[in-house]
Amino acid sequence: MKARWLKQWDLQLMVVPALLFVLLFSYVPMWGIVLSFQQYNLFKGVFHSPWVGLDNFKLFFNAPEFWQLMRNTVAISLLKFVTAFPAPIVLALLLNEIRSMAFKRFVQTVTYLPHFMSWVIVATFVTSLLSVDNGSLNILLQKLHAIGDPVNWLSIPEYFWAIIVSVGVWKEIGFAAIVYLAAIAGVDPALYESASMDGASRLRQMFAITIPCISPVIVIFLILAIGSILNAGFEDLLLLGKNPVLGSVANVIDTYVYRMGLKEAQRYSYATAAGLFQAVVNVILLVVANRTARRFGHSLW
Amino acid sequence: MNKRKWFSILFGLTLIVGASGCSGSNSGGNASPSSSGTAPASPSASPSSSASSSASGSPSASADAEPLKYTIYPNYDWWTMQAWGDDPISKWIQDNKKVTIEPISSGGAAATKLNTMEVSGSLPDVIILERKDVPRFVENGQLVALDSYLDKYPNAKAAIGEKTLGLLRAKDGHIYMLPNWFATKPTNNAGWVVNMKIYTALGSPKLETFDDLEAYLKLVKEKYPDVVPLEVGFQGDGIDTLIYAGMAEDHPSFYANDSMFVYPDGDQLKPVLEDPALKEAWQFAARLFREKLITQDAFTQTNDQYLEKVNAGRVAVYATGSAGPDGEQALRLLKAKDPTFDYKVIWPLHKEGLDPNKIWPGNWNSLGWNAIVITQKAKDPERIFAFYDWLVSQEGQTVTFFGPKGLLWDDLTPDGVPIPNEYSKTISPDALEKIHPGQWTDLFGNSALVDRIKTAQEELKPADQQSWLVRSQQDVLWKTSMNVDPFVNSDPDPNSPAGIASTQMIEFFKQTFAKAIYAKDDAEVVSIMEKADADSNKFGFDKYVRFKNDKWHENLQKINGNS
Repeated sequence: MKARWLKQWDLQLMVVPALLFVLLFSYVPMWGIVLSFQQYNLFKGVFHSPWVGLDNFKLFFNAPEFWQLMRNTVAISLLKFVTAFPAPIVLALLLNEIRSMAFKRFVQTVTYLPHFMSWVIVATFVTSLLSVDNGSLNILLQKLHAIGDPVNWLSIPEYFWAIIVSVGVWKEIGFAAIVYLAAIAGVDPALYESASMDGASRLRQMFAITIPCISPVIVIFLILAIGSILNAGFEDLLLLGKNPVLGSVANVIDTYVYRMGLKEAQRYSYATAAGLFQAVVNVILLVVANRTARRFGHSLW
Repeated sequence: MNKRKWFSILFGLTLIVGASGCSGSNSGGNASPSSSGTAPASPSASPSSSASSSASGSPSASADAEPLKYTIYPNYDWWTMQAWGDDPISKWIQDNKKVTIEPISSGGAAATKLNTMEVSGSLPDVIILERKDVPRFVENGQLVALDSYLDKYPNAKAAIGEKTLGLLRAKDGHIYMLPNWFATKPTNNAGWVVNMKIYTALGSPKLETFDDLEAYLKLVKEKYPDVVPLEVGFQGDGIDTLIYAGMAEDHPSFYANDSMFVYPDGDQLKPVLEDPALKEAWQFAARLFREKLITQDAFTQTNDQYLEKVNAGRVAVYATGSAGPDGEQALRLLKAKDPTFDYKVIWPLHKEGLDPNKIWPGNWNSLGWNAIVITQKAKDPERIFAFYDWLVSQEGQTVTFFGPKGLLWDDLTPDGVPIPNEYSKTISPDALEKIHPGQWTDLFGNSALVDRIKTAQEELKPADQQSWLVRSQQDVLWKTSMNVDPFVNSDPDPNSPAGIASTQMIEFFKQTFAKAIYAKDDAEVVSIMEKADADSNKFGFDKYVRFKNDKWHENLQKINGNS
C-alpha cells in the first residue's frame, strides 16, 4: 500500500490543492462556532468575550418563533425533497427516450440555462410574472376567464410554498438532470439489445435496465439530499418572501440566522447557535441515511 | 472499484459547487469606498473662492493651511454619499477649507458593513448613525469625547444649546455625539399630497375627513382607472404615518415608530397594538385596500417604484413620511413636461368630529435626526471637530445649503440671507440637480438656522416663484408636527431582554401590520391585533413596555425639572 502510494506520488500530489481547499474553507471557519457559547462582543473579539455555555441554545429553543421556524423549515425542505429530487431523474429518463438529437439538445439547454441565473434575477422575474398590475400570469388567467380580478399571488400565505417549490424545480431541474444523463449514457448498450431481443418494450427497458443501472447515483444523491433536509433554501425565500405577510410561512432557520446575526438585531452568538443547531441536525440525518443505504450496499462511506 | 469511481465524480462535483458557493457568498459585504476616483483638486480652480466672511468667526479650521483629510461612513442602506469634490459645493469647501472627505459606501447593507469595519479594526474617522447605536461604541472605548472641544470652539455649543447637549450625555458624563439636524422648532415632511390636475378635473370636492377621502378615491378609481387612487409608499408607510395620526387628537404617528411601539394612556405607556386609534386606522386602511383604493403593491414595492409613480404623476393622492421632498422632486420633473401640473399638501385628513388643529402626522425633538461621532481612529480629532464647528456656523450652513457665494447668490441681506442671483433663476433643473444644494448639509445640519434662512429667502421671491416645499412646510407640514422630547433617548441596550424584545417587535409589527391590511373584514383586523398583542408578550414585549415607562417618567422629570 505504502509502496504504491510512493510510486504514484506525482498523481497523489494533485489531490493536495483540493485537500487544502477543504481544510481552508470547510475546517478553518469551524472555529467560529465557539461564538455560539459566548456572549460575543465585536470589539473584544473571540478571546475576551464572556463565556455563557448553552444559554444561547436555551434561548433559541424557548423562542416563541422556534416551532414556527421548525415547521416551515421541515415543510419547505420536505416539499422540495419530494418534488425537486425525483424531477431531474424523470426529466433525464424522458430525454433519454427522445430520438431526435436536435430536439433533445434543445430541451436540455433550455432546461439547464436557468441554473446559471442568480436568484436576484429569478426572483425579480417571478415577482413581475406574478404581480397584480400587468403580471403575465394574471393576464393569462383573465384572458382564459379562469379568474375575475387579478390575484395577488405573492401576498397569500397559502400559495407561497407551492410557488417557492415550483420556482426551485424550474431553476434546477435541467442542471441536476445532467448527472443522471451522464449515468444513463454509461449503461452498457448490450443490455438494451438483449432486452429488446427478449421482447421488452421501451417502458419495460426503462424500469428493468435504466433505473437499476443508475440507482447507485440516485442513492448517493438521495443520501446527500437527506443530509441537507434542514436546508430549506435561503436566497429564494429571502427574495420571494419579502412581503411581511408571508413571514409566518417564509421564515426558516437560515433566514432567521441572517436576520438575527447580520441584519438589525446583531445577536451574533444567538444566530451562530441557531445555525449550529441546524448543522448538527443535518449531520445526524446524513449519518442515519447513510446507515440505511449501507444495508442496500450503496453507502457513501 | 465502481463505488470509488462514483465517489471521485461526486468529489469533483462537490468542489465545483463549493467553489461557486464561496464566490457567491463573498460578494455581499465587499462594497468598496466610492471615493476612489476623487482626485485632490488644485486650490485655485473655483471662481467663487472669495471667502464670504463668517458671521461668527471660527478660530481655527479655516486658518489652518495644512489640508485635512478624513473618512466618513453613513450607516444607512440607502445613503451613498457622492464623491467629494465632484460638485461645486464640496469643491468649494475642498479648495477653501482644505478639507477632503472620503465617503465610504454601505453598498446597501449598512449594518453588515459596519460590523466588518468593527471586527477588522478599520473604523472610519467619522460615522453618522442612529443614536441608539452609539452606546455600544462608547462602552468599548471607540469614540472621542467631545466635551473639551465643545468648550474650546464657539459655534457648536452656542447653536445646539446646553440643555440639548445634556440629553446626549453618556452614562460616564461625557458627550460623544453631535446631534445632526438638531432643532429648536418643529420640522416635518409627513403629509397628504393631492394631485391638483385630477382634483380640479373632478370638481374639487371637500377633502377634510376620512369619509371625504374614501368618497373621493372611489370617484378617482371610476374616472381614472390607470391612476393609483391612494399611494402609501414603501412598506405601507402612509398608513401608519398619516392615517393613524388622523384617528385621534394629540396622537402623533410617532407612537408606531420602531423606537416606540407604545402610546401614552393617562400616565401609563401601553403597547401600541392595544391602541384603539391604531385599530381604527388599520380597519380603515384594510377597507380601502380591499376596495382597491390603495396601491395593491403596498407591501411588495420598492421605494423606487413608489417614487416612479409620484414622479410620473400617476397618483391621485399620496401620503407618506417624505411627502414634502418627494413632491418637490416630482414637480421639478413634471412641471418641465406640463407647466399646469401641480401637487398640493393639504391639511391632515382626520376622523369625522375631531379637531383638525390637534392632528399631528409629524413629530420633532430637540436632538433632531441622528448622531455624528468621531472615532478613536481619527488621527486629528480636534481638526475634524473644528471643521464640524465651522459647518454648523452660519457660513457653513449657508455654503452647504445654498452654495458658496457667486454660485446661486452674490450678496447677503443684513440678516445673512443669500439673495438669489440671475443664474439661480434661469438654471435648468438638470444643472441644479448636479449642484444638489443641501446634500452636504446632511454632514451636520442645523434645522433652525437652515429653516430660518430658507424661509426668509423664499419671502424675497415673488409668490409664484417660491419653492413648493418651503411653502408647503410653512403652510402645513411644520404646523402639524408635535414635540416628542419626553420620549427621546429611551432605547434599551440591544442585548438586554427589553432590547431583544424591541428588535423582535420591529419584524413582528411589520408582519402584523401587513396581515391586518390584507384582512377580510373589520372583525379580522381586531382578532389579528389581539392575537399579536398576546403573542408579543411571549417574546418579552411586556419587559420592553416597562422599560419604556421608566425612561419616559425619567425624561419627564428631567424636562420639567430643568425648565
